Amino acid sequence: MKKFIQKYTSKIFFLTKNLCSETKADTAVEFAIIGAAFFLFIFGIFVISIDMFWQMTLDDAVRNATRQVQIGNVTTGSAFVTAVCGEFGLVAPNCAGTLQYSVQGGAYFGTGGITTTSFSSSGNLASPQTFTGVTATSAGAPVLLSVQVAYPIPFKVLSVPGGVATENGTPSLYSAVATEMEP
Amino acid sequence: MKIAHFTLPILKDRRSIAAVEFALVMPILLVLFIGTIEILTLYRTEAKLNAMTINVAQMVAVQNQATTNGISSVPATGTSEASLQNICQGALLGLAPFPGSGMTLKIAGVTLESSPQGAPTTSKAYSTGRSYDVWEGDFSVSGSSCSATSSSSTSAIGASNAETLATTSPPSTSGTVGTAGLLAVPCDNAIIVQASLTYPGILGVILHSRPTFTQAAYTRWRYAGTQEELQCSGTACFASNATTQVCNNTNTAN
Repeated sequence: MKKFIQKYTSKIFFLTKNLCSETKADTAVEFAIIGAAFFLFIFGIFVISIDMFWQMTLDDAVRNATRQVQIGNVTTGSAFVTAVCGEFGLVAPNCAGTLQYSVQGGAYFGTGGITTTSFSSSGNLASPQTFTGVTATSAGAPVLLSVQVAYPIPFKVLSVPGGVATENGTPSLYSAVATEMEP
Repeated sequence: MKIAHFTLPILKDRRSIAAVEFALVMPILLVLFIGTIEILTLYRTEAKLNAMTINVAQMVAVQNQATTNGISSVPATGTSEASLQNICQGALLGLAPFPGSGMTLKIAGVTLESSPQGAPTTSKAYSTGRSYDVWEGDFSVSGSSCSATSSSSTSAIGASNAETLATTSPPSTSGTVGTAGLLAVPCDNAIIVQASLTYPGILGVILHSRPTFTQAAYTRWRYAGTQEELQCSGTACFASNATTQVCNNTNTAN
């Protein structure tokens, strides 16, 4: 038994020693090590790029959907999702299924008027399907409008922290508009 | 051969080439990468500020006109009712996720008085010098709250600047008052909103000087009644409907 161990230990040692002093294809081996970090970096660029593209599309889609709410074309939460996803859904997967929204109308911003939904650090709106108080402004009774939208990013690459990619510290894209209801 | 003799052995070493190249290229890549994000964020902040300014103007325009000394305006303060301060507070929500801290928001209204020199039915309504009613409400944002600042301070739009902006086209404070612009007929009115925000930056590694964005928006009161005015041009006078907010002929504001 002792002999057996001695025999194989020396064989493994011999093999390792040979591999370590082997200089063929060393560039390939180095690239395999450095390349991992390099490709992680490249993928990071991809992830941030697509997140920024989504963010800008979402901003635009929310602004356009808000306009539809303002002029009275969109009067329900599902119609609002359809309006946002009509534009944003072309580039972002499962928009209609994951989009969180809070659309509120009221005379002023604050308790008793429009109480905006809080956006948690986990990237969720406290009440993700709110569509309340949205009525047209009439003479002497102005209605202000607050629109908040969150879209959880459907995938993550661990080299890029979610909060960095979305620019708001959470793993969701966020877009908001504060404006008025048209008469 | 001689040079090779003097070269240090480390320069002849062919190991770790990939690692050394990576180390050389990485800083450049990193600067490009962070710089791209920074510039993108900068433009997005500006786009958000521009949209916010227009929305503030719209929010002011639909408000009820409270009359103080014959001048229509929106109450300056009050966060549990519609006021300029409350609108500023709401506007910050639309600026999210960017922090509004450090932003200044200036809101002014200008109305051309109905008949500066006499009753509309008996004399030329605006053949002589024009008079304007002006109000202003200014706010600065600290943290996430808007607080009113003095509209008489040097950083305010100022009554004469507001008049010039409302009556020149394109709006400019260096133009001549009353030449063009939003106030064409008596009782016409203009709402001017100016916002400025210094871009806070992400890491501060690429941009050393922080650019300040400014944006202005112009609109009118949404709920203007009509008032019949006798308007004269040369010797001919005619009755015309002018859209108006609460409009007077007493020079109370300016």
